[in-house]
Amino acid sequence: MKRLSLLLILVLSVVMIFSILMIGCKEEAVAEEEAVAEKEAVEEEAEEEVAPAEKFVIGFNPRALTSVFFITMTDAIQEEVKNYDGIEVEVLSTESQKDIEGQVKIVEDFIEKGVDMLAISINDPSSMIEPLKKANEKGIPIVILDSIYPLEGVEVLAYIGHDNTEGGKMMGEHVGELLNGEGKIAIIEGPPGVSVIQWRQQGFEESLVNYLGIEVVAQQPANADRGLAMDVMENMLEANPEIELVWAHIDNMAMGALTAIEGAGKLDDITICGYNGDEDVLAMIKEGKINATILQQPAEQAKMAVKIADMIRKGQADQVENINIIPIILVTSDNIDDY
Amino acid sequence: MLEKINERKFNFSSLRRSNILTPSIALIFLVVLLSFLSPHFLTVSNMLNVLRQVSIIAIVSVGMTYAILTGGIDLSVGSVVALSGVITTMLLKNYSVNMYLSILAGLTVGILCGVAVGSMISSKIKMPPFIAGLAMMAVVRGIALIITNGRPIYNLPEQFGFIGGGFLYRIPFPVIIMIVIYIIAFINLRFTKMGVSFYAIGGNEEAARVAGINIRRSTVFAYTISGLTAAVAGIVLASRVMVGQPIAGYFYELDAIAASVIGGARMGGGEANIWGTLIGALIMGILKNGLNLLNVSTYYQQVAIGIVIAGTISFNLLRKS
Repeated sequence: MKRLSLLLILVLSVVMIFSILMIGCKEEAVAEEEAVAEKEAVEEEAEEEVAPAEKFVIGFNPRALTSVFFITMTDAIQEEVKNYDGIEVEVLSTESQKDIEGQVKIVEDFIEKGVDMLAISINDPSSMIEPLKKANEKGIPIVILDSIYPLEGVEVLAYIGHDNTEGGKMMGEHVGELLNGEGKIAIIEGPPGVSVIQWRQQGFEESLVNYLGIEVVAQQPANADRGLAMDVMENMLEANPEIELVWAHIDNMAMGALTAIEGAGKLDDITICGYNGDEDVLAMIKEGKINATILQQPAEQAKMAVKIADMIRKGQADQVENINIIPIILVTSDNIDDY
Repeated sequence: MLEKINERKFNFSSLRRSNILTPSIALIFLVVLLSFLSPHFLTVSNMLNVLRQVSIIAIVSVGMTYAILTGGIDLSVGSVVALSGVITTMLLKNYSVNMYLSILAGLTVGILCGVAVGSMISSKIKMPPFIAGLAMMAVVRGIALIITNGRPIYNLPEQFGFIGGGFLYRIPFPVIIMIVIYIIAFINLRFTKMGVSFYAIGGNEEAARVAGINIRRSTVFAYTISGLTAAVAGIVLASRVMVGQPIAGYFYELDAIAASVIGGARMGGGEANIWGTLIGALIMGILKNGLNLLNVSTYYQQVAIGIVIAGTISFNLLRKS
């Protein structure tokens, strides 16, 4: 038995390592190519003896690499730096968007390493003030992604983000028009206490002031979880069969709501709206199963950050705009073919 | 001494099977209360709805009860839920593997994870269950994220949706899977030598050893069952939402522990009742459903769930003392 379990541990670890290697090999190959290319580039530099622009390193810290939004942003920033000779990006991320202390450590590590620019999207603004002040002391320019939220006492070179209040307003306006200002609706909330979610809701409510006939009969959280959103939607349908429209603060919850509504055979009676512009929701809008979403552009945020890095490198930091709003777009069946 | 233990070995009635009276009363109380509070609660469609929502956690809880029964705990189940779902959906979608083979692969992954945790705990180094589970939880979650690159896998073949979303004679299919698993677990724990050995190890490992129970093998078995049930739950979940998510199953281990303990399982081992676990899972599920129907806000929901967990367990402990 002892031998057997030892053997099992061995086999298991081999299987796991093998599977990681198998799937990771593609990336490794790319990384190797890059390494080779880098080496060559270094050699070339040495040969030519011309001093090109010094390496400029962006320390990039997305909120967590478990959400499609930030994965897209990260992929985009890694792609985009390839278009600029000499700009590099280092990516460090916490495992969860709730890991506040982990993010503080990452930022401190970046400062310690002496990156040339910090590009971060913040989990918890108040706890980031102290570490970012240190970056200020060291003269490292700070670019904040995905939120435009003033940080007291911190000098931020640029904010890049979407206006979530505006997005909420757009959605509220759309819903108001869609229902002709009258009807019962449900809202599936995102994780409690997250500022972007609160802004979306706030904007939505501001718009609904113009449509007093619209009544929110159910409002329940589903923590950005698809399965949970499905449960919540099913429960809402039990309690409020008269719901005409449901708005989910985040697209993957809209997908969960869709599955629940389809399962209940009520797809013809209930309109579904989301927020984010995830691939699968866009596909569902094309199929006519989901009515609308607000398309965000994380890749555009990333490109903007790299552009700012380039400006800093060229000594044009004073020309960088402090607030950079990346446009959001209401996507419905009318304009879905453009996306 | 030896004789005495041997005698007791197959005396089933002497096993410390925990009483399910307290959790049953709590469940009935909750059902009655919610029936008065919401007209939508006690309807056939809502009851089926609740059972389906509960089924996934309830399935995970079976394995957790086994782990707790042997005196341990399995913290890796949430990550195994994610990995098995991801493996199954990836094979289905990216490699167009036959559905049954994909499911089999997902289940195998769960079994392997369970064997790994069990082996660490029962090996000569005797790793504490909490630590073994913690380590496995991180590794398995990491693998799920690595192989998917953090992205969910969607557009799954329609036939896969039956497992989590289908019906058999109007009963949701996940509920049937859940009931079958509970019946198997019940038979296993009550009427087989293997089941008795789990109670024995958790009750008194030394006595069990003297009685000739192979501690190592039984421990590995218990965690293998835990890995397997987590994998079943992972596949049901992936099928229900029709997406393989590497971030699925977060904190499922906590819900499963709560369900087992509300159901009368003793942390420390030697005492548990599989039907109690089912009642525990139902209490948690019905509470969430009821609070949803009543449109109670999130912040209050959290408080209510905490109070019910603490309350039920306090009563259980009070009754025993």
